[in-house]
Amino acid sequence: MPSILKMNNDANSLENRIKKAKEGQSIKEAKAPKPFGKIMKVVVEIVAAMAVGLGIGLLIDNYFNTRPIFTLIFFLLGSAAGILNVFRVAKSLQNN
Amino acid sequence: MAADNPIDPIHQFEISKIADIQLGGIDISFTNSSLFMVFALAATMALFVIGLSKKSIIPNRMQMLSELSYNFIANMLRDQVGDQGRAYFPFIFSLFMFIFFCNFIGLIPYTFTVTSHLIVTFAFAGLIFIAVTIIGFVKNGLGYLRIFYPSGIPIFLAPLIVPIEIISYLSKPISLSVRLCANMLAGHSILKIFAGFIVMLGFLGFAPLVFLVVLYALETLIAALQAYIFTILTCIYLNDALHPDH
Repeated sequence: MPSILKMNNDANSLENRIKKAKEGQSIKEAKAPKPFGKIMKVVVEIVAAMAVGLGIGLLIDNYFNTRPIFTLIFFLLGSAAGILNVFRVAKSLQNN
Repeated sequence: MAADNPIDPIHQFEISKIADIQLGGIDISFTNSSLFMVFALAATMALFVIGLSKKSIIPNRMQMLSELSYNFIANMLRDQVGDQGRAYFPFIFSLFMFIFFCNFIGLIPYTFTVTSHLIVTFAFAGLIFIAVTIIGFVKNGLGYLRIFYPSGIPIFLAPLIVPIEIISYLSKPISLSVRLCANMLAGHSILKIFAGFIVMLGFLGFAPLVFLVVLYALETLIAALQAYIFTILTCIYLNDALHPDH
């Protein structure tokens, strides 16, 4: 009789341990990949916006022969757009 | 260069022609890149044809995989875009499976990574960008232009905000394509460089070998993660086009 009780006890504790392990696992699985991906997003986002700004500026300058006025203006606008992009990613991170 | 140095980490990205095809002066040769695109396509087809050939209530592994991937993308689309996005499911799903298999086939030694070439990823991103812009204008008319001028901004700031928003909008395909390409390119180069260390160090090579195993695990994660990120960002852009007010 005591041995059965003990076994039951063991089974209960095992169930609890499995539950706990599963809970811990699911939290890890849900949390781990998300910030990793979001951080990767941020880095490219700022560079891409700067490149687009620079590209537009160079195109306009080549067309009107006004180098370096528009290149400078659009590079600054591109940097602002990059920061705006990063700001949006950060905001979506905060909402999550 | 490659001939003098047997350890050349960039060699794996070289395009070589398998069948030379010229059409009206345009080079449309079948290259190793095309070959591995066909492999990715064949792998996707195989997964679904074999996986869904025996539709049992208790699924076997292949059926599980195909159903899981279907549910994964369907849920992603529903979460990001809502019910309106269901019409675009075939495109999003094909996109995910293709990039996923391109990334994973590239991890096998002696294969070619299609997604490590910027032109491939940019073709995808550019196509998505043009399609999303057209969808935005078709669904919202000229009201779609409101995304360049968010509500609640004083009119005197418009000359500053509108160009910034336009640049931000135009940077989407570039960041989308560069992210995927750079991750694949950097990851595979690093793998090759560390593999080179093993050969160069001789007996001491076990140290980079251990590191290479860890790095390979990380690359496997990145291969899946980048396919996921590419797809989820496509969903987000699609959502912006369908609901520009949010």
